[in-house]
Amino acid sequence: MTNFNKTEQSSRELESGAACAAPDHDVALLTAVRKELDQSCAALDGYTLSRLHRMRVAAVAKRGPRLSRLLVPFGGLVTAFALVVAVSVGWNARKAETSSPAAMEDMEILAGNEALDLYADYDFYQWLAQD
Amino acid sequence: MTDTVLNISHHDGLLMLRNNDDQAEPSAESMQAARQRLLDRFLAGVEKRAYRMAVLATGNQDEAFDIVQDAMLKLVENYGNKAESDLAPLFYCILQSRIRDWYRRSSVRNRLRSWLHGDDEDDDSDGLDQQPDPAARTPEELLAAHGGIMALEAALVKLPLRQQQVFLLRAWEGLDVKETAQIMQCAQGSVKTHYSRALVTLREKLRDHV
Repeated sequence: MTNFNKTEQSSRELESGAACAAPDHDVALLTAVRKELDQSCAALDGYTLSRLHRMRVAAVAKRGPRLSRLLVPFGGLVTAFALVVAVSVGWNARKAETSSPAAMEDMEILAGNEALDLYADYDFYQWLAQD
Repeated sequence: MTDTVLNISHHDGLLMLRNNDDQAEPSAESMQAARQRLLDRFLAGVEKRAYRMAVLATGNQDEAFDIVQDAMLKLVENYGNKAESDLAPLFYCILQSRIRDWYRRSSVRNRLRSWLHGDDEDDDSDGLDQQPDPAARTPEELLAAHGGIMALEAALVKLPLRQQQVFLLRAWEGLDVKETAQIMQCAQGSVKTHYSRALVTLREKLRDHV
């Protein structure tokens, strides 16, 4: 029971003096006002009640364990594993690429002391040799 | 036949009943479910009145829905673990805070609008909006026609916001002066003044009804 059910409310009113300390005509007025307001709540249309219900369910669901919260540790593991796999695959691919004969040849040319002009005009010298 | 002895214990504001034989502590899931049920029951008990209070304050159903929804979410997120007896004051405190925020925002918006467009509106006005609406009815007329909630609503809507909300908290929710002052974030003397003035106005407006 909440504090605001009618039985408890009546006792709270007695304690607070909101109603009983008032003159008789105010008591009648307050009783009538409460009755009208309660009736207006009871007469709320279906759309309003449905919307209030949805709002309440959504709010209370916030209290429950969220899927995202549960997935945080698991998601971290998955991300770490994916990173390890991606780095290792990339490393192996790079290693394979750099260890190919063509790549090694390029590295020798770049590291050599010969002038690069020779290699730039390589096609011309090749044609000259054929002639 | 064996006698079953129930143990009563309090966990985080919840009353728990357990068999004496069952020595295991309630699981986190069951505690969570119990707390959700408690919050749901509490909100189900106050949502209609909160909505009606917000409608009376704003005069707009959509604004009222937004205010109540904010209050529900804030209560569950920030105070969901509080004892059951604390939930109602906290909820109404949040609700009143949201209503005040709405009132400040709309006041600023209206001032800005009148500052930006005030002259234009005056120029465009043909004077009809200044004339009394023959279809509009005073609280007394509504009272005579319906004799009930419409007259009361018309009278409540015409009250200043603080008088209106203090009156609703005191007269409808049955809160005492101290609780109302805490919720409205004002002095207890102010609560008494607002309540008294609201009562005088309503007595005058609804004199023939009661």
